[in-house]
Amino acid sequence: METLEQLRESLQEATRLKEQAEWYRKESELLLGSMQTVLMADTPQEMFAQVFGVFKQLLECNHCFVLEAQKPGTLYCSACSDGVFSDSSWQVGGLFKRILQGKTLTTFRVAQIPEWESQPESLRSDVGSALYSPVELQDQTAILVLTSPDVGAFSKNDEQLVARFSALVAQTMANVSAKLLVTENQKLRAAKEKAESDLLHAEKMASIGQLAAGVAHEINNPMGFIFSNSTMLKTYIGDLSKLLSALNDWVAADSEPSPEQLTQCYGQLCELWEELDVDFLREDMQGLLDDNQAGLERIRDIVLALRSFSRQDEGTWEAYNLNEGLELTLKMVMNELKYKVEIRKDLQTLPKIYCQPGRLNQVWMNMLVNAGQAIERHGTITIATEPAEQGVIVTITDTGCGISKEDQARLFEPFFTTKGVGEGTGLGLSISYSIIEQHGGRIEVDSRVNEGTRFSIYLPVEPPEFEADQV
Amino acid sequence: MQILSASSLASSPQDAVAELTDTLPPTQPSLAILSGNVRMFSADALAPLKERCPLLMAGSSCLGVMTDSGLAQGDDSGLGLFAIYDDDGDYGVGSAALGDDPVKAGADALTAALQSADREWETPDLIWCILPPGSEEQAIQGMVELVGTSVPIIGGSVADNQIAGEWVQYIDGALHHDQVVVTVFFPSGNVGFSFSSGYSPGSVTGTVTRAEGRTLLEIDGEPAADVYNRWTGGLIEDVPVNGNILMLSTRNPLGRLVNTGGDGEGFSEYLLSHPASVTPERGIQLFTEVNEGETLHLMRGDMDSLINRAGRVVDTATKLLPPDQTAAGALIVYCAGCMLTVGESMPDVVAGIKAEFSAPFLGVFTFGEQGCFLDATNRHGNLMISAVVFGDK
Ligand SMILES: Nc1ncnc2c1ncn2[C@@H]1O[C@H](COP(=O)(O)OP(=O)(O)OP(=O)(O)O)[C@@H](O)[C@H]1O
Ligand SMILES: [Mg+2]
Repeated sequence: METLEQLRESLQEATRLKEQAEWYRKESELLLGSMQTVLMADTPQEMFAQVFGVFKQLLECNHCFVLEAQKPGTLYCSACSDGVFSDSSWQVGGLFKRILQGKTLTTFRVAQIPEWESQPESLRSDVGSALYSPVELQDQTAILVLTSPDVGAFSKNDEQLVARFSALVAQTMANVSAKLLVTENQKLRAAKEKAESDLLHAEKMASIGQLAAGVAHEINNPMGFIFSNSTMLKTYIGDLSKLLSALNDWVAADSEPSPEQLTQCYGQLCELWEELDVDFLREDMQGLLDDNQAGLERIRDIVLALRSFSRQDEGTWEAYNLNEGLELTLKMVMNELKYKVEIRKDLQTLPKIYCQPGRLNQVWMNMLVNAGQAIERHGTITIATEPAEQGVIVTITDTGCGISKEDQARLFEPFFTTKGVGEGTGLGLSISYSIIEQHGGRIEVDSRVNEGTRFSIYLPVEPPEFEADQV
Repeated sequence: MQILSASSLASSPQDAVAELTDTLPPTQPSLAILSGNVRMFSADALAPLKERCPLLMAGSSCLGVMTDSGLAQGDDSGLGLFAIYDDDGDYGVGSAALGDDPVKAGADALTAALQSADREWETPDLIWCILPPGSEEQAIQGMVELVGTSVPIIGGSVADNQIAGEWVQYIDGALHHDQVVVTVFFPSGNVGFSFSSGYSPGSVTGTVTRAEGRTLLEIDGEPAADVYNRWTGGLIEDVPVNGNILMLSTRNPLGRLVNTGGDGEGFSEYLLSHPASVTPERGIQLFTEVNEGETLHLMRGDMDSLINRAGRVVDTATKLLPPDQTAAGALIVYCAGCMLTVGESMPDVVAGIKAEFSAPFLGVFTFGEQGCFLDATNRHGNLMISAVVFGDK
């Protein structure tokens, strides 16, 4: 027999369990019910509108909105349940970074949080607490935000419900994106065709451009002192010819000089000798000539190295280990990268592939330079190779600023650049694309704004027959 | 997440601490909670533990503790440790002196704990506190004002062995007796919690007509001690002024209905107040506040339910974890008054918990319990049992 106290206890236990069960049921029902409407959405905006409706029904929130990446370090509100937060722009601080890394969380009070402090007072005035959840969209992680006018309004249960919902949204998003992707692909193809037609011209420009940019600095230095040495030598030669013409006057004279004249001549020569400091002049000329010799040798070496690096002049096809080319290229760009970038290498043993090594090196060079330029302060570049079916895969991954979806579509267009005037020609990737294509390979990009970029390149062991014939 | 518990009955604090630290793996735990007999608290003896467990919450418990390896209780011994290893979770401990503003101390200690967890703005899954007896209601109010009502606040008031005000807390190398100490939990798994008082209301009720803080002066216009004595059939007839009635009154505390369970169909909950002593003006000193105008019910509890409750509360808390998580460990708060009343039969309480729960646990004996009621409100009461169970994903 249970005592009255034990009965009360059982009842209390049952009440707690029942409440929990009811919460689960409510949650499942809503998830199921809303899945349908959400799945019908044609655009992300439409879908979010549906999602907001569901949340408002489920939780006591006064605003719901979505923050998407805009440019590095900034998010903007791309959809809002009631328009209040539309287009607001947000700095990514420590809190948002954690959410972007996959954590659903709530802040019990938005006052004093740096992310919120940067918003105008009018936007913060009716927000007490907020719940945030990362939503995996196709090309980036967005943040879903729910707010309540009350402090500490959201519970652990609310948090888990929203986290589950975000997972659903991500799935749905993949569906919606599949529809959008068809259009996206068409755009991409058009861009590629345009790129190809421009390529001949572009390539010429690029080889000159790249050569100039890469080599100018290296050659400039020896060139500089060869120039100034030559100017010096010119003056010296002027001086020497004065001495010579003085001598010449005597040598060319018709009659034998008298001893007096000889003494005078000797005196004059000595004077001139002193005046021109011929001893120094001889020594210095030797030095200048030696320096020039060394400078010219340096220039010759650079040109030779460049030729062996790019082999552009020949474009020879040979069986080649790509790891070698990557190492070589890395050495060339290391000087620029080493201050801000940690390089990670994961180079697996590869089969040799039949290729134009110099041209592929050009591709790696451009990828690495791009990756380095994408990293503003500090980051990692990972270079990995692995054997693949009948070929090899090279991936170059950076933790840089990432590429927005719109830009990704135009990436391989010639002259497409986001870099300032004089910084980028916008040819690097279009040329890389054509080189890869000539090798019968494929290049793919996977990028998330604020998170980083990965270029994956597949190259077959044997290039397509017709390409080899052309060579 | 992994949880370890350990206890020691060594008679010197140094030996006890050494026994506890010996059971720990070489890595530092994410959080350690130490509790035990006030005689075990020596700043010097605890220093090596603090070194092994930098994030440490430590306070005294009446006569010792209970763990999954049994009771560790004695007049001068009994120390227990609960260590959480959870790389994917975050934990923080903070404290603040009560001073003359316990509300502010509650908020300050919580803020410090959140900063210590490096989660200054985020809502924790659980707030665990050890408060000095006396103004728990205000300290909790301060925490609720800061983070709102959605976070469960659970804990127990630090206790000594004789209610002589000797209770201690060990914070950053020094002993204190007047600090609000708070731990915030952001564990990788979920927490399940339950809070229970196994008492039922009798038919006798009265209204508080005069009260000052924790002193109940009059019920229905009569001296409270006289009314209580009549209600209980002469239970405190022979008790002298200032006499201790804790043991006598454990089975007949006073209760206030705090939660009617919505439309009357749900479960109604009572907040219990434990009569501690009779005051010179024949009032009753309680371990909680009461307010004029409130209705008091004389509550009834029997020995069996005092013994069985703990196991059931832990079981309920475990069942509240999501189905895909298993219990990694539990913290239990067991009212010291109940513990003293149960006395010799305390091993049965431990056995009752172990029958329901197979993971490590630490149980402390407290002079006041804080917990979250069915109406999701955090309250301070007496004669209650709380359990928090940590889930492992
Ligand atoms: N790893 C990357 N991370 C971020 N953005 C990139 C990355 N690689 C390329 N981009 C973007 O693609 C654009 C085009 O790259 P591309 O290499 O074709 O030209 P560029 O680097 O701008 O100029 P150039 O290569 O001629 O110096 C860049 O301006 C940049 O916006
Ligand atoms: Mg480039």
